[in-house]
Amino acid sequence: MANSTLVLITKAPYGLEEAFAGLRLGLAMGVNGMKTSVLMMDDGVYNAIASQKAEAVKMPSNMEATKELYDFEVPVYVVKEDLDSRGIDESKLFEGLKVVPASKVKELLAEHDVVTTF
Amino acid sequence: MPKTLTILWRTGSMMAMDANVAVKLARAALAKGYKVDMFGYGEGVTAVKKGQNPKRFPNVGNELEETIKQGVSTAICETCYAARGFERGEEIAGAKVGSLTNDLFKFISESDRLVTIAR
Repeated sequence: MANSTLVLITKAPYGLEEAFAGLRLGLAMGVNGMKTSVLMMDDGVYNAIASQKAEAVKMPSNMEATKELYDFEVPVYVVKEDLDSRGIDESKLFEGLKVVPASKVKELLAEHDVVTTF
Repeated sequence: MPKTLTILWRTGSMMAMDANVAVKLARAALAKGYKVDMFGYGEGVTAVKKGQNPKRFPNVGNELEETIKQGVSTAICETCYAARGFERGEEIAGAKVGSLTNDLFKFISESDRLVTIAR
């Protein structure tokens, strides 16, 4: 029986529905009280940028969808090396995110019963 | 007590073989004695549309319906389904138009393994 879920967000926002869908899945688990974490990695780190403007493409905001997770104590991690390799400074991220080294990924994978990738 | 596998598939019925792979995996797991649950999310919901009529490709709707008859619980995301213009009653027999919060949560919380099939 799975008591915890890790959601990997690997795709950038808006061009695909993947990242938003992953955030909603994380919310659905969190709402039910399951231990849930979200990890933004690879191009998924673009979801962490504070200046994103979903309204420009008439899409729901991935930033707001991420912040909704906080209400259910779902931590959202962002891989530092993936930010660095894309030239994204941590000062550009919105509040509440936890920037972690890539070495933390292995720990998170081990800490959760199931993992799903978006 | 049998182990439980949940298959989360997120690609549609025609552009890729992913849904067909999900069905094959479900049947293989059943044959191994697993209890199997399947959840269609995003574009994956298109696989449960009844009346699919591909001329040159496997009919994943029929395959999925047969798999449900073999005992695989199958649900899809209603929000995704409605977003694509589908209505309740358009799905194959046995597929449940459900939700992440209720159905997928239940599937995952009862699972020993979760496999995601997507692109």
